[in-house]
Amino acid sequence: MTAITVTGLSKSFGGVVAVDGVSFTVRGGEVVALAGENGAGKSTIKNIIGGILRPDSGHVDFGDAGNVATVHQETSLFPDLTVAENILIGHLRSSRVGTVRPAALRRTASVLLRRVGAGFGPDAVVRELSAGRRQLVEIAKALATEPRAIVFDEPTASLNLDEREMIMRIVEQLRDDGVAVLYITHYLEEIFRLSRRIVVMRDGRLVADRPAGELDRSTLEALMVGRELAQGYPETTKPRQEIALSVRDLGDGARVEGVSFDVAEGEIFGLAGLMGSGRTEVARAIFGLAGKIGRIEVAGQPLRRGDVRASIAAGIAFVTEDRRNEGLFLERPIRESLSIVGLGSVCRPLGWLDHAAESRLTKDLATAVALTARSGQEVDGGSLSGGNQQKVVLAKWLSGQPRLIILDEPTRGIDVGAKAEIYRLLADLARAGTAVLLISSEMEEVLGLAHRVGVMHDGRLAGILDRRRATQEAVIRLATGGIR
Amino acid sequence: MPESVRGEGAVKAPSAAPPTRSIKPASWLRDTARRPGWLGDLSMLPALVVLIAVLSVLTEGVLTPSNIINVCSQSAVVAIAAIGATFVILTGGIDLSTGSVIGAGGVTAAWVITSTGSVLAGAAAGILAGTAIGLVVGTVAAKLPVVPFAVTLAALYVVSGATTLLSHGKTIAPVPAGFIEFSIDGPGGVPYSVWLAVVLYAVAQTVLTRTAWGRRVLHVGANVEVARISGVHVARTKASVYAVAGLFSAIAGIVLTSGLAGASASMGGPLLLNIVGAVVLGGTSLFGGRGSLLRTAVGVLFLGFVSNGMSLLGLASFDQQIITGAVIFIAASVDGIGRWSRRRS
Repeated sequence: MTAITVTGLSKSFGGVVAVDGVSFTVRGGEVVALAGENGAGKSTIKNIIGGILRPDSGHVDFGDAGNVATVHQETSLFPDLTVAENILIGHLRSSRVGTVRPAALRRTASVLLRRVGAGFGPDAVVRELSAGRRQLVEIAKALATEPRAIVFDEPTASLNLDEREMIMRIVEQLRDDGVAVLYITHYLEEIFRLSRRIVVMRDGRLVADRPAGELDRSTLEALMVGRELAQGYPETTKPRQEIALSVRDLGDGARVEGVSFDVAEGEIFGLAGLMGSGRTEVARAIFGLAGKIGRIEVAGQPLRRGDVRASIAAGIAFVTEDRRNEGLFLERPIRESLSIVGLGSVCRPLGWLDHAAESRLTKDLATAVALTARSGQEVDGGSLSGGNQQKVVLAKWLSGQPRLIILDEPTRGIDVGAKAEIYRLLADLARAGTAVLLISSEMEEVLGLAHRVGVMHDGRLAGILDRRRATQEAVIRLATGGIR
Repeated sequence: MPESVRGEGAVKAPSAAPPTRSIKPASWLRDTARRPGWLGDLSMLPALVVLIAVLSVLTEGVLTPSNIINVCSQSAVVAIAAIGATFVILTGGIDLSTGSVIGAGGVTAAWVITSTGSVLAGAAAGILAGTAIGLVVGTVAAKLPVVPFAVTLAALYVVSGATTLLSHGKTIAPVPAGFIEFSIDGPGGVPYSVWLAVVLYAVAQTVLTRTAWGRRVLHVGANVEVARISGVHVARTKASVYAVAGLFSAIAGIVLTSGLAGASASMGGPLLLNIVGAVVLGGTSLFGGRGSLLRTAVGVLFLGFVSNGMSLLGLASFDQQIITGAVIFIAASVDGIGRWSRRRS
């Protein structure tokens, strides 16, 4: 009952080998995890299996399954269509003359939505759904063809704990129904919970294909990265006395109200909470991208609200959660994304650019974040892996020492090596006196790095826990509306 | 920066694998990382060369110095206005008022020249008027939630109506002979208008690639959110490109006034499509963020040689139109397919 058989796949892009002679199988009723760092070739494998790319050599066979469905990481939905239309986008013609029958669409879609445990109807417009709900739509869409083999590509990357749990239950249900599942993720705990076998790729090659029981976390990480990873999080130093950021009664006029907290110089302040609890809105309101309610002081000076340029002038840096749309230029050389914030420092009078100074600056920034782009700084941002893109977004703020750096989901969808680099950078920044406001759905990361953790619930700050009291349980209790 | 063992490891890029070293010598042209930036700017150049080659076979005298000067001097007005249009399009905007500002700038200049006798004062007045119109249009387009297409379409009508009203619908003439000479003769037998266009292209290309303002123009067009979050003053940048477009339209209007020996409100209108067409044909993206003045220069020359070739071939005007359309389509397809295949490889 082999459902996906991959034999000797190879694929190069313009002289760069992305996948080199990879073979493995996935049987019906089992979950096989495909693990590897960004750029290891996982996406290429997924795209070849999904029929989006043609391999240079080797082939893919679906045996009894006949075909395969793919659940994509970056959502492949049409934001302005309804849930039902998106789920059945390939099967819209429901009458003989080729017209669309909305009632039939809704019925079929409702059945699929129930299968994935969605708590919303088929008439919702996708644009208005949260990331987690969109992912459920994505899965329902994949199930529409009754596939016997499914590839999941980072299905939980942008989800909170509850939603992740829900997705994993769906995967387990599919497995028990006899579906063959190839599961691609960066989350090692998901890999160990779901999969029977683990296929590890590195630099385009298959480096291991072993039963999950034979591997532990550190062995798997070592296989992925090709070296032993130092365990845990970097050491952080004690925060200073001076208050860098003071937020009082912050609101955005919509989601968030009455949020007050301080962050000291050199302190890492974590902001936890469920997806939709208002964490991102707090970050954007501080930086001047949303609402103007409440008072903010940076190093004792009142901050002009709703003005990004004033925030930057006050020494605030903002690493967005949406790096592809807000973080860097996908179609300009990465040099320009790196130098954009510090451009004033490489200008002569009258705004003449000093190209030599610019390339010195961008080289320094690239070194500071250990950017590993393979072809220098003239390649377009869009050609970088997620981890390298994230490093660029971070690096552009480092041309001057920021007084406060706000990071919204800085490690989403990036590999363990890049994550470790970013943790190290945050710790270095804090040690140098920068206040760090860290928002993350990965609780382990917040607990591992932050001196104090603020927990958001339903648009309000439910409580602030210091490092001693910030346990997983305590955070979840506050995040879900429980009392301290 | 302290380099821990972990840091060392992360520096390892997958490209360190031996197979990636085998880049064939011939592939450097296709490898964007190694190709110098200006080469991408000239992707339309082969089409221009082929066009000139075909015309040389079909007719005589295409490549004689006098004909080349002829093409250049006939293209000068469109060329100068296309500089401003390029900056606007690089931000992802569009300026439909270009033709009417050519009229407004020309009429203002001609009016001051005829009433004061000073060409310099006239040119200054025309340029001031065009820039002011552009600044108003740009400020409205940048600050209000109205698309530039609508703002500049409205400006087209308002400016052209106002210019007609103020000039009483008449051609403003006569202008001094020395001013007319500007479009006819100059150093080396090349008209001053062509020299002016060349200098303006050199200046504009330098401003685009070597100043912070040029960089911001590209960045607003490439991704306005990234630019805003990185501290770019988006509204100011947008407003400024329309002011620059007004400036260059006015200069083009003054050159056109010199060529026509007088100015009328409607003289620039028919040039709009040639101006935008030259920018886009040259390879500047209508979505913004990609393009340059070098590309526009090639686009201008391409359109110039097409129309020159048609008259050398002695075609009737309807035949000319059909063939012009076909040639533009073929050139754009070849360029488009070339870019597409480079992206695929």
